[in-house]
Amino acid sequence: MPGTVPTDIGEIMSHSYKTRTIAAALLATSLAFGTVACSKSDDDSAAKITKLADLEGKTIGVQTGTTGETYTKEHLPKGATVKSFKDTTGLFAALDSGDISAILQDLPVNAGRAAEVDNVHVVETFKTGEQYGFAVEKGSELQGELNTALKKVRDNGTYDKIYEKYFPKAGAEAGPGPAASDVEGTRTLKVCSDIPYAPMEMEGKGPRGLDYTGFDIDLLDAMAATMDAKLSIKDVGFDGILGNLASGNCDVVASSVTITPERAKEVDFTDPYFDADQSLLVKK
Amino acid sequence: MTVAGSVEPELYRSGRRKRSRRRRFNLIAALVGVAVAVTVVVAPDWGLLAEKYADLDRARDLFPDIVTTATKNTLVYTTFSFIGGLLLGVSAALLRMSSLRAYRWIAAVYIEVFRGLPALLTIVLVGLITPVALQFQFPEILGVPTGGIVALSLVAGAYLAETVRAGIEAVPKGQIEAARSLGMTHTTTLWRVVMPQAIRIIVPPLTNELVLLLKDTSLLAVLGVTIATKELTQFGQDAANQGYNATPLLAAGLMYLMVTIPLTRLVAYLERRNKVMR
Repeated sequence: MPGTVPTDIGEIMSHSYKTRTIAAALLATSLAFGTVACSKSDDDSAAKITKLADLEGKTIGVQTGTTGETYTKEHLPKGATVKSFKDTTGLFAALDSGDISAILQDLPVNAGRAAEVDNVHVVETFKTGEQYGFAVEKGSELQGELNTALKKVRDNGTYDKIYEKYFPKAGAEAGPGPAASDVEGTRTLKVCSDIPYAPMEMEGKGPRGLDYTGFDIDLLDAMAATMDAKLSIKDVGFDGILGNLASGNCDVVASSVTITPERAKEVDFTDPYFDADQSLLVKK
Repeated sequence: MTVAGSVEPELYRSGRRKRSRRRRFNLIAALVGVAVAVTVVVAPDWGLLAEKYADLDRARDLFPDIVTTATKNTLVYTTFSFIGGLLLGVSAALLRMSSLRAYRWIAAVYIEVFRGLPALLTIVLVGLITPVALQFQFPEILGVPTGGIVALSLVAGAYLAETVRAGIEAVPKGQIEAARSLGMTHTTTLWRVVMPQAIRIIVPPLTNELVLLLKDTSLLAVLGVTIATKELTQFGQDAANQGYNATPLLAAGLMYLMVTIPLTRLVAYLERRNKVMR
């Protein structure tokens, strides 16, 4: 209607070109804030990395609270930065996007990743002589029971069958794993594990109807079967995982935990069940 | 026998009964309170509690990093995200009120999507997965990794947009009518009459948003942290995990409160002053 004075805020807006321009400019500025400054990742420099020493001034990704984190901090190349992630999902994503130049962590996990995707490979391994153990609360009777069970499954060949399933000899097919156990289990062991940490622990069809599988899970389940027990598995963060024992959140931690003197002060470990080394994973 | 006068004592009595019932309730409440207090004092192992929650040596070890790195980072991330959020929020609010349907739609979709998503999901989506999908890196600006900042800005912007819009729409129509009849142009009316009043209205909710954002910065640790980029929560958690002691977490909590309580007090003051001025 000619001569009408708009008094509604919407109408004011519609008549105010200046405001509209300002709004559009503001939006453009803020979008630019997010996109313009983004740089394309520099793939050429990543190709040259063949050892830890090549990472001078670069960022190395590790998982929080792991022995890999400790190793990286102790052997840090000049000017390099350590970036800690809560889980392997974040680590692998960050390596893929170029946010980090390398991942330093347990060899089986890096090797597993390299076998799974084409664009990464393990370039260096560090013989740290690390061994994994299952952790229980200090003074727990479970330590002795689990040690006996571990010896049993090592002696009867179950351990080797699980090992060949996840780590077949070079050129060989992956083994089928041990025969399914029919032990019902009269008691339940509450297990805490940081999942995924393939191939050690991950989601998937596991033994005796478990929703989780992996080397650690399959092994612990075979051990529990000899103890007339079943597992109930909880996925928790690795960072501070051993604290779950004292709080009663779980009875056993099965999460590729390296036995270290510092950790042994807080919890009891079973006999070692796996030899691991650290390794460096980079983009091809 | 009933007389007319018996009505009054009836009322009186029921009042007394109410009062005695209230007295009985107060007594029970007091007893429960005492029982709880006694349990709290007697039940726990106070030595262990003190060691796990208030280990002074541990607390001392946290300084100065807890202030110079952790708290500083939390404040820097909050400031950056708030500025980003304000830019996005104001523009989305203005677009939302535009006469062009396309503008209104863009703003509405943005607001609904990012207001409806959990902040953590947005952070992982923007900061971790998008760089993989598009093969780029968020740059560091002044040593601040910007991936998480962009994500938090998007979250904050969606909330702020609605706050800003509500503020603008809360300005009485008469103000606009008056300005228009004085011969002010549309633009002058908006920026000289509507906005100054709207800003006064939205300052308290804006400060609340700032406090929420401050706490949300604790989620940024999923994107990975270096010694230099650790914020308060991750700093406290890392320190707490050495020996499973809660002292660093409590210390980090105190640092948050030292920032948030003055802020919320400020909101309360501003709200009071607002009321007086109207």
